Amino acid sequence: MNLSDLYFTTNLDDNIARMQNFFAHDNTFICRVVQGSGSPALRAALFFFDGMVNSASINESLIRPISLWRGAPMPMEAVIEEVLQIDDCPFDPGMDELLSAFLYGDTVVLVDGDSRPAVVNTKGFPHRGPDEPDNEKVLRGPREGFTEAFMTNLALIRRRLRTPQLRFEFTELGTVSHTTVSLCYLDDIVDRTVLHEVQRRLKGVRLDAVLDANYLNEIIRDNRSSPFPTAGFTERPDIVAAKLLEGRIALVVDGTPVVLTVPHVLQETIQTNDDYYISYLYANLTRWLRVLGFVLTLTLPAVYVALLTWHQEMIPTRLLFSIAASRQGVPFPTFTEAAGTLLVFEILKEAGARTPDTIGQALSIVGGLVLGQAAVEARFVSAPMVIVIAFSGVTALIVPKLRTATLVYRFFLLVCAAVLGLYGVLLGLGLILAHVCHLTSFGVPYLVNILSAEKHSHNDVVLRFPWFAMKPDRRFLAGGDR
Amino acid sequence: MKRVCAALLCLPLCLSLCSCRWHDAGDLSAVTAGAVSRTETGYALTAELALPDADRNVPDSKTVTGTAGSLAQAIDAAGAGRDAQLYWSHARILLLDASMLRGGLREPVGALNRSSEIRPSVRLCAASGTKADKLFECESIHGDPPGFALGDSLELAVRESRVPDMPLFRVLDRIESEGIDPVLPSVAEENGQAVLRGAALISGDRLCGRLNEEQSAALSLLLHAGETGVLYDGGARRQLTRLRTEIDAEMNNHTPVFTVTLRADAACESDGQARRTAEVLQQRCLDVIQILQRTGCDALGFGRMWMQKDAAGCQANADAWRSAPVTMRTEIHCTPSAEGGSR
Repeated sequence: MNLSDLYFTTNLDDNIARMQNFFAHDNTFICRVVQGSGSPALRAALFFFDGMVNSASINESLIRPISLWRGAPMPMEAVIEEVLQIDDCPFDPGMDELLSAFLYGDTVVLVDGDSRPAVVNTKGFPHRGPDEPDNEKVLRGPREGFTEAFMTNLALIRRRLRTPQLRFEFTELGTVSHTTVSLCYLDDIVDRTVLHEVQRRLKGVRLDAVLDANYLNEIIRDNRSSPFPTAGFTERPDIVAAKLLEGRIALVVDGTPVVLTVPHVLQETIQTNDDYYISYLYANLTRWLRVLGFVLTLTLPAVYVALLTWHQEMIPTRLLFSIAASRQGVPFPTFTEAAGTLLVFEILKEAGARTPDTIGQALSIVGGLVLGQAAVEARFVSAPMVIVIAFSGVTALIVPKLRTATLVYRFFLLVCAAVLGLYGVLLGLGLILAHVCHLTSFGVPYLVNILSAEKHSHNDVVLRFPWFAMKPDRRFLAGGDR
Repeated sequence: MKRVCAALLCLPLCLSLCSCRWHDAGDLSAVTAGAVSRTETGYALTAELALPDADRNVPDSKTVTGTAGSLAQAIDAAGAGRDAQLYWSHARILLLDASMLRGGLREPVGALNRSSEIRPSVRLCAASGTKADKLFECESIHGDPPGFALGDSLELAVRESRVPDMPLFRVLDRIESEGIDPVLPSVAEENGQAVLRGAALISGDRLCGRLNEEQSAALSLLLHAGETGVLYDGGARRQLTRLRTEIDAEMNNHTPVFTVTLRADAACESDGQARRTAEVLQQRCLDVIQILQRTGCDALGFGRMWMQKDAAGCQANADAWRSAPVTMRTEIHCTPSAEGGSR
C-alpha cells in the first residue's frame, strides 16, 4: 500500500480500516476505539505503537476524558479544546508530518464525523539515564553524559546555558530515517559565516538514514581524506556548553549520544575536560605530557628504526651492544620487525576493543604479556622492539582524539625512516606539518590559535591560563583570530 | 612539482655521498678500538671487535688484523672475509705502536683522517713498552673488551685532566700546523692489564720523549683538557675547577720571553692550602715546560705564539723557543668545601 492510499474521511470506521490496512504487517500497531457516555456518544479512534508511547499518558489524557465525556459528538478542534487533557497537540498536520510524529511515538486521534486528525505528544519509549560516558571520564567535575534521547540531550545543554541567546534549529535528515538534527549555537557570539556554511552543508546531505553523528561528520567536514579530525565529537553536555560559549556550533543528532561540534581545530585535540576542572598547574603539566605523548607515539618506532638501520653511531655504545645482543637470532630486518609488531599491536588493540569487558581483560593479558614474552623468547622479535612498540602504543592512548592520525602517520614515518633514516623522519614530519597547516574546519584554519598573533588567543592553547587570568572574551572565532 | 620530485630524488644521492648506508645493527661488527703498527711493507691494522652475547652482560671480544701497503687498504683488509661489516663509528681509541711514533705520524694520521670509516673524534694513544695490538690481549676489570675498557679509562682521565685530550682531528691539526705539537696519552701493560701511563711527546710528527703520570697531569692542566682537573699532592687530592690558561709572549731584543698563567678554583679548607696548591702546581708546570723545551715538543704552542709576535725572528731561528725564559704563574682561588681537603 502506498502513502497516497492513506487519507482520512469523515467515516471513522473507514479511517480505522485504512490505517489497519496500511500497517497490516506491523504487530506493534495498536488501534483503540473509545466511546463517550453521552447520547449520541462521541466516538474516537486512537492509533499508536506499542512500546513507543507512555501508556499512562494515553490512559489519563486521552482514553479517560473521552470515555467520561457526556456531550454530543463534535468536531476535532472542539475535542482538543474541551475533552483532551494535553499540552502539545498539532491539529490536522500534513500526512508526512503526521506519519513522522506517529512513527516517533505520538498518538493519532480521529473522531467520527471529522476527517482531520490530531497528533498528541505521548512519546514514552525507553531510554537510559544521562550516565557518565565511558570514553570521557573525568577525575573531578560533572558526570552527566548525553543519551540517545534527543530532547533529553537538548535539555542537558539548556540547563547549562540559561540564556535566551541559545538557539536550537531543527532539521530533518535521512529520506528513510527522518532523523531530527538540531543545530545549537549562541546567537550573539556565533560566527555567521560558519553558521551559514554549516546550514548549507547540512542541506546537501543526501542519505537514507542518519543513525549517528559520524554520518554527518563524514559528509559535512572539510578535508575528508585527512586523518586529523576537523569536526569534534563529545558525549558530554558540559563540553558542548563550553564550546558554544566559544562561538562554536553543536549538531545534536537524534538517537545518538554523540554530539558534533564545529569548527574543530588542532588545539582541541589535546584538551581534556579535566584541564578545566582541576588545578591549572596540574592541567598544564598533563597537557604537555599529552603533547609529548603524541610526538613520542608518532616518532618513537620511526626514530628507533632509523637509528638502528642508518645511524648506529648515534646510539651509545653499551646500548648498541645490548640491542645487538637482543637482536641475535631475530630473522627479520628491523623495519619488518617494527612494522609487524605494530600491526600485531593494532590487531590486539582492535580485538580488545571489540570484545566484552570480561574477555577483553583476559585478551589484553594474553596478547600483551604472554604473546610478547613468547615472541621474544622464540626470537620472533627483540625485547627492545617490544618495549618501543608497547611504549608507543601506550602513549597513543593519552591522545584518543588523534587516534586515526596516530595510526596512519606512525606507519608513514616508519616507512620514511626505513627509506631515508632520520632525514626521512624529519622530511615526514615536515610533510605532516605542511598538511596540518593546509587544513581548515568550516573555513577556520586548523592552527588558528596556535599561530595567531593575537595575545588573548593563546589563553588556552599551549598553556591553560588560570581562570583569574583568562580573558573574559574566550570566543576563538568572535575575535580577530581568523 | 618537478622541483619537488627532483629534490626528493636528490636526497638519497646526498645520503649516499655522506656515507650513510642501510644496514641492521645486528649485521655489523662493532669495532671498539684499533691498533696501528708499521710493517716492512706498509701498515698492520688490528681491530678489536665486540661480540654481543644475549646471555652475558658484557660482550665478548676478538681481534682481526689486516695488513696492506696503505692504511685505507689495511682497514679494508681487516674486514675482508667476514660475514658482518666492520663498523668503526663506535671505536673510541686508536693505539699507535712505537714503530708508528718513530716512523712519522704525518702520513698515517692524514690517511686515518681521510678515511670515511674512522671518526675524526677517535682518540689517539701511544703504546708504551709493548706492541700496540698486544694490549688487546690484556684483561679488563669488569670483563669488557680491553680496548673498550681503555676507552672508558681514557674518557675519565681526560675529564679529570690527567691526560691530554688528543682526538684524531686535533693530532692532525697540530702535526700540520707550524709551532705546535701533539702529545699523546700513553698506554702500557701492567700486571696483565692495559693502563694509562703518562704521555708520549711528539716533535714534528715523531716521538721525542715521554712524561710520567704526574707530568702528564700537569701538562693536561696547562692544556686544560677538561673544565676540571685533579691535583695530587702527596696524599691530598685537590679538585680544580674553572681552569684557564693564558700564554703570553713578549719580545726582548728578538728573543721571546714567555709568561704562562694558570688560573683555577680549588676546593680548599683554608687560604694556606690554596697557596700550597698553587706552589705545587707552579713547580710541576715549570718542570713540564722545561721537559718540553728540552725534548723539543712544543705542546703549548710557544712557537706559534712567537710567530705571531715576530714572524721574521721566528723564521730565522725556529727553535729559539726551546731556550727562551718562561715565567710560570699560578692563581688559585679558594672555594670553601667540606670535601676539598685531604680528608
